[in-house]
Amino acid sequence: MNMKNQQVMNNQDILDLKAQKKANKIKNPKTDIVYFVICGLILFLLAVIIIYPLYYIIIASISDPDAVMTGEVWLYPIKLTFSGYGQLFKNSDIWRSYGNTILYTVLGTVFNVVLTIPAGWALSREYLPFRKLIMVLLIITMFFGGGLVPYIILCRSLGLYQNPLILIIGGGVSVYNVFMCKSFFTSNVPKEVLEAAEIDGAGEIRTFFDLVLPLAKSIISVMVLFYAVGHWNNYIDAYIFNIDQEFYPLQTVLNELLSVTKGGEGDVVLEQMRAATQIKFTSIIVATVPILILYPMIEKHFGQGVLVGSFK
Amino acid sequence: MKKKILALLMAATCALPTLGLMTGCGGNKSKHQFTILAVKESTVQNYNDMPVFKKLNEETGKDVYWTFNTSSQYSQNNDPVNTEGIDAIYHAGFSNKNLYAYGKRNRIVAIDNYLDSMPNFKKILDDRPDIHEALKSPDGHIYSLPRIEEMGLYQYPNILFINKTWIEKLMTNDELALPSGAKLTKEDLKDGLDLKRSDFKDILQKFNTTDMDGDGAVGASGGKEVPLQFVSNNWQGNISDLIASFGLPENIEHKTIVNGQVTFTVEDQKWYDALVELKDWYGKTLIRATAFTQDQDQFLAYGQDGRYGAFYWWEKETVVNKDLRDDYIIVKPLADDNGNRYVGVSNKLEVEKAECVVLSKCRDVKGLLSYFDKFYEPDYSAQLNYGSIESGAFLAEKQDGMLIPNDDHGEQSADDFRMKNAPYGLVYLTDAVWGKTVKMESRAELRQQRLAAYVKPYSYEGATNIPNLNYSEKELNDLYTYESSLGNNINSFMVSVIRGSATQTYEEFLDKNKSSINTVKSINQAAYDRYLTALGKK
Amino acid sequence: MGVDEVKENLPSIDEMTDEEYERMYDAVAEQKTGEAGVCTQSFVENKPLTKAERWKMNFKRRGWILLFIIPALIYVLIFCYGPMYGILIAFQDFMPGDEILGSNTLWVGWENFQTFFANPNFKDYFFNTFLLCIFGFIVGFPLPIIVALLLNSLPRPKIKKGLQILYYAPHFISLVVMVGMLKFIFGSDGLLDALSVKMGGDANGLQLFLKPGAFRPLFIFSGNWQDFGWSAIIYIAALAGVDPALHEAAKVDGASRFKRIFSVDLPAIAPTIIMLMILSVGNLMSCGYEKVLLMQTDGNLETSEILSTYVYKFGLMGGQYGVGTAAGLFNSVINVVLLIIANTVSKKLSGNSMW
Repeated sequence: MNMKNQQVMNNQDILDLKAQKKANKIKNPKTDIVYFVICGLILFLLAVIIIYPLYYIIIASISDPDAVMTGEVWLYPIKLTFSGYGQLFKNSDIWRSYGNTILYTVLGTVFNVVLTIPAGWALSREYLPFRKLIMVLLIITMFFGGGLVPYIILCRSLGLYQNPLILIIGGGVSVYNVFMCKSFFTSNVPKEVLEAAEIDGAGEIRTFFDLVLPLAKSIISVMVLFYAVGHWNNYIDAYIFNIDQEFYPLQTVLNELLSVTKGGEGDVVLEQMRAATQIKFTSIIVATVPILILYPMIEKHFGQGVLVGSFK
Repeated sequence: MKKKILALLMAATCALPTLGLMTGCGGNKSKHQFTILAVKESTVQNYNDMPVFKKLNEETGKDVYWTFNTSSQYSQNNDPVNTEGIDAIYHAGFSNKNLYAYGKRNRIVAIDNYLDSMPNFKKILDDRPDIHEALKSPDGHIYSLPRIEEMGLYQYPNILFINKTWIEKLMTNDELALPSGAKLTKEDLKDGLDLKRSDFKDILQKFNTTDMDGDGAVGASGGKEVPLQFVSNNWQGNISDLIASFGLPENIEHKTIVNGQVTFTVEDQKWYDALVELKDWYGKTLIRATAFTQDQDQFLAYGQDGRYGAFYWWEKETVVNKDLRDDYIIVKPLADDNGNRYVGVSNKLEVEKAECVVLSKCRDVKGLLSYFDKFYEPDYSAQLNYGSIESGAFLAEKQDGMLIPNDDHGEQSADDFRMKNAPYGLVYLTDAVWGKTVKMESRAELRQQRLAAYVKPYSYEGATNIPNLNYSEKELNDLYTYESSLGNNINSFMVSVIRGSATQTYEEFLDKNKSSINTVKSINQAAYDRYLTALGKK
Repeated sequence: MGVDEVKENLPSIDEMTDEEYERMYDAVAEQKTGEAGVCTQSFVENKPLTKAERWKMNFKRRGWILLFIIPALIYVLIFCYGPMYGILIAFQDFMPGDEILGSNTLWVGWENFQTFFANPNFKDYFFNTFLLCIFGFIVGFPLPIIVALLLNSLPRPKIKKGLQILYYAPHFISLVVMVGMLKFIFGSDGLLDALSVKMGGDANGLQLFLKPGAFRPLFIFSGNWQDFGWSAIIYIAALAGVDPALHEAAKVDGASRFKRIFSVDLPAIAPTIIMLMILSVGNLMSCGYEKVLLMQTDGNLETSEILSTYVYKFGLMGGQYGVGTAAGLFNSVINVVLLIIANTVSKKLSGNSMW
């Protein structure tokens, strides 16, 4: 929280050097070339490490399962086949859970954002009554909690056990995100506008809806992304709260698919196993693509100082 | 406009949880007289459609409705007793500790208070004091209905099979010379093959380095062949008898009773010596990593095409497909260099204590228990255990007053048929029934014969399994504290020694687990002594 | 004092001190009441308002703002503070359906803790948790800083942006998928083992998921694969705020790009680094159980059983609620202690602190 001071001091230290810069244009020293080559190599390598596993899943999903099992597929697909996708489309569990997940994600995210954005706004106002108390209450939860078992017992007593509703309202407020919103509003809502509104006698509610919300597009979309990804990727709550299989979200079904080898008897089984191998790859892709599409659409908002804010 | 929508949305979202809470708590009031939660895989037929349950409803005049959890779902349910709208749990499988915890809190019914309306169950308790003793909880009450199926099969769950056509392939001049000097001829290749462990190892090695299936690749480097296969921690077809062949009564829990004394095999140096030898087998890829990672289904699936040189299971018929079955013959328990053979005794019991519990919130406990009591009648027990007469599990006509199993299920295998059609659960099938009112299925008889001929004679001398024991509450708590982590420690040490990735020495391992072993041993010993006293055997 | 005058003199609402704010507020109020022709007593008599009175006035006029935080606050009180009340279970012989505070509650004192500590594997769980987290911290903390520094030094903004987007992407992949991929590549029957057999290796392959020694590296590697780009965002943003003149000045002194990382970039993001370090240390012992559970096999239990998986498996799935809660509480207390220590040390050494 003392970051500003240090930066200011540094700025003053070099004010006079600014003048020098104009005087002589400086070329990059030769050692820089070596540096940039190494730096580029490292960053390139990291990119490869990120891309390769994703690429491997894609080529494995469209290759012959036997070729995948024997390690022949690692650079390009072998014996191109889309049967894995065909099988997947026939799997009703996957599609039902896909529908469930979309429902949970949409409703859950709306619930999250509706709780979080106004809370962030209120906290960013110094005149909020009990502000300090509320802040303390929120911060404590970031570092101390009752733990898993009491949490489940609480939800049980609220009737949320074996109730899919928990997949929508569970994790309703992330305190971390609230603080992110708070600092966004602190630094991104022009004071002049607010003061004018205040003097006009606009009430708190009108101010929020008319003035603040239109300015909060980027923080809202970032919150949508964060919360939506959280809902989309949640698999364990369905287990913990013992949700009926009919209401399983996608990731839980996926986990069953990836961790269990179903079998029976006879030669059919080997065929089933081959198919199961391929479905594993295709289901991963089908489950991940929506998130990877949503992400670049919202990514452009990351830069607007949204993320850094939470630490000031 | 926009803000109105937003405000509306906000109000709606805030209202959402309350709404849901209400619907969540509303509960589904069942229209049926009784609703029972059963643990059932989705591949098994719906109990409500099963002829045997329809008949039970009809005969008892009760309206019983079944709801289901799959086993994975049920295992995640940390409090099934609180499930809305159910009266009982079938295939409950509670641990002794949980059974008593629920009983103590009065959430499940003490069955012994209702024996008057349960003639069949009462008779079982009177006829079998050992079962009566086993069912008691620390406070003396019986909180669950048991499953009792006695055929004498569970004690010895591992038979070693070997691929004789592969051995024939290895023969030169119709003979296979073995390191011990013995020679195998074609005449030897029949059930009951006599092999020393060292010779067996040599054969496995040849399986591993010869292209047995003729596909151009040998097992040791990428071919399909697997020299020896098992499922290390499964209740059947596990690693135990391979370790037992080193001269100790091993089973998957590593504990057994020898001459009245509770014993841990891991304390025997021979146990560690066995692991060290098996490490060599693993290193030579005679034992594969899959033996430690696979589940039963995977083992059975890959076995079908005859890629296993040898395997442990309690029958070959489920492992290998029909056409290749005759390739496999039974090997007697492996002999050590002095020709001695040993087989351990499994602790899997023929009496499953907590098969079914009735919840205290049931409105008519007496009625439900009298319904369950019917299950213990021989005809119903048989049909529950194997499938109904209507579905074709038994012949329609009784012979000599006995239900006769129908072995012909068309294309379906016996296992598949049974998995689909039999609900299992509360049965009483013992010598009081076999050969009197129900004929044993031929598979079971075959297994009995095989065990009698090739396995039982080599049972470790003086070894018996640990029966259902009656623990005090404190003992239950202590067992819980020590047993689960002890089991993990032993198994992970075992696997890591065999796989050559052990981080501790045998001494360190023993040292670390000494106190747990002693605690578990002394609790079991005390309970076992009480058990003997109660039965008047001591 | 006129309203405009006050406004000019004051920096902005947010940077005002309480007093300044009150001055402005009074002025605004005066103007308003003046217009309406009604004067409150305090203005007439020109007495300064007491604190309570001022608070009351503020509340009356702007109390509506509370409406915005109340839903979130209620949620937090129920779902975050509710379980804190449930901590009492750690001192009970508890089964679901029991009252936490009632006449039938079975209190057992410290017995659950004793059971937990008496567990012969307690030490292992503790050290496994500690080692997993500390190694994760040692690798995972500096990596995003290094990446941010390298990225920041790239001269082409387009490449920089492109790489950045790529690096973030894995953050959004779910745990299930992540571990699934890990098994496809490093597991038995996975790519690596298939390749090793193909290259003439042992038919058993490497079986990394069965090796106790491989669990931590796999866990940490995959965790970093997923999050290094994401964690770098904060540093990249902080670096973007560095005055270019600083770099120019250093160049004049003949500092190479590499040297400038240490002389210019690092000092600029030092406060951010320290802040994040405090946060990380506070969470050092709180490895989640989800990913560990997904990666656990019988083969690697020796290193992969940690406190939180113990709570999940024995406390929740095994129905030992009391012991599970006791173990969870033990873990939480350690976290808080660590956080306090980290914060105090940082305050002493660098003057940076969270509170």
